[in-house]
Amino acid sequence: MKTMKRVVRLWVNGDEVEVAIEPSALLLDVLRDSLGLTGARRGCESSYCGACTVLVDGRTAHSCALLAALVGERKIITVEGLARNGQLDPLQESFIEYNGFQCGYCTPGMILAAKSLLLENPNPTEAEVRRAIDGNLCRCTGYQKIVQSILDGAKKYAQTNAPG
Amino acid sequence: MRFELQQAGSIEEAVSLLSKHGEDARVIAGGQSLLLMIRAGLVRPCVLVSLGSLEGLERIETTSEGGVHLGTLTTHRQILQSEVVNERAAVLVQAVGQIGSTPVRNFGTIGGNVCHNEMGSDPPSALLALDAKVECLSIRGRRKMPLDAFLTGYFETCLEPDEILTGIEIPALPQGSRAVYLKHAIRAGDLAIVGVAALLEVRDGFCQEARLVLGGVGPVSFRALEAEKLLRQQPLTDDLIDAAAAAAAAMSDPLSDAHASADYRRKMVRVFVRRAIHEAMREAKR
Repeated sequence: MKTMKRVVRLWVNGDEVEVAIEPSALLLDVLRDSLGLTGARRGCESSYCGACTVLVDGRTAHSCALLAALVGERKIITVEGLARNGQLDPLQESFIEYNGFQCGYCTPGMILAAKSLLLENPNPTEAEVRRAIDGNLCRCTGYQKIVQSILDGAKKYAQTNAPG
Repeated sequence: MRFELQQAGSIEEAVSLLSKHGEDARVIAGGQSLLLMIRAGLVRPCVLVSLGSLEGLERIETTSEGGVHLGTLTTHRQILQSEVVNERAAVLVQAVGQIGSTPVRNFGTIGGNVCHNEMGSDPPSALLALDAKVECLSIRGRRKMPLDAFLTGYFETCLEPDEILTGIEIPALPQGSRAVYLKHAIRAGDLAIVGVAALLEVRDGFCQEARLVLGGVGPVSFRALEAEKLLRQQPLTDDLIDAAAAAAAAMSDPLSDAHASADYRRKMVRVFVRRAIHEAMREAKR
């Protein structure tokens, strides 16, 4: 069956963008292939691994399990959207300080899952941190460092008093 | 993966689109199961009818009889955060909290979960213990039926191609009863190897009402009626609980797959039914 491309408007990292997409296009494919935002990684494409995690209105989403055409006016944030004026987000600094990654493939997803948690719960327990990254697999098994990075990120946010 | 996408502006428009397209169409809500099924080639719709965030269908409401009504688009996240559901149907919160992962719970809907009806899924077992009813709508009219009549087989329900599940009604729990949901899975977020929901009402040491639901060990989640019968009007001794757990294991009809053999699942039914009954009794004493 032939389907027609349609132009949809998306809000990505604070910008309004127009893209011509198939109705069946996944948000992951649109971000990577149409917008060049490859921070959303292609992993299992089955909504298990979380490498493709982005934020949709502040909540974690597996972008491989969302149709781009159905996102509508909801605000999408990818890892590329975290730095401000060339300054990394405090959470990103924490991941560097605590070696919160080895190969780095899961890192954008981990950082965005952490961001979503801290937006909602600025002072999480370790258990809450572990729960918040339950949709993100790290196959280097570096969870300990990742959890430490996120707990440190919470402290950094408290000092700069703004996770937003 | 090729299909047309039609966004319904109202539930009436949605059912009329389904009636027009028949078996070529599927409804998409959160899409957390359907998109994976399409990608795997297990479902090949030509048209997806999106319910988007249709006003009213995403609402959790109290009913005058002390129950809860869930709009079909209610997300798992909403259920977890709902005070009303925590108060009136806590066992559903226990089950929903064990679905997949946070992103899946953020977007997945309760209506979608029930219609997907995957073996080992957590919410159907809890909803059966709560005696939930489902409401369906098509251009032919509305109907309401008990959830156990709705769930018919592996990935199957009695929903007609032109019908939409619009809501789930959960009646008030029997006075003084307590319910728990226990899940056995190798990794958190997996489908249940065995899922058990148990509801008990105990008065003066005697069991007044017992509902035992088994998930993951048959085509659909189901009430283990034979096991329940053993418990009613009896004092809940360890021997009786063990007999009920054995009866539940005998009623299960599990498959062997990569996660567990049929034999192992049956053994785990016995273990988890016993645990669930004990836990529900402990809860009831609080």
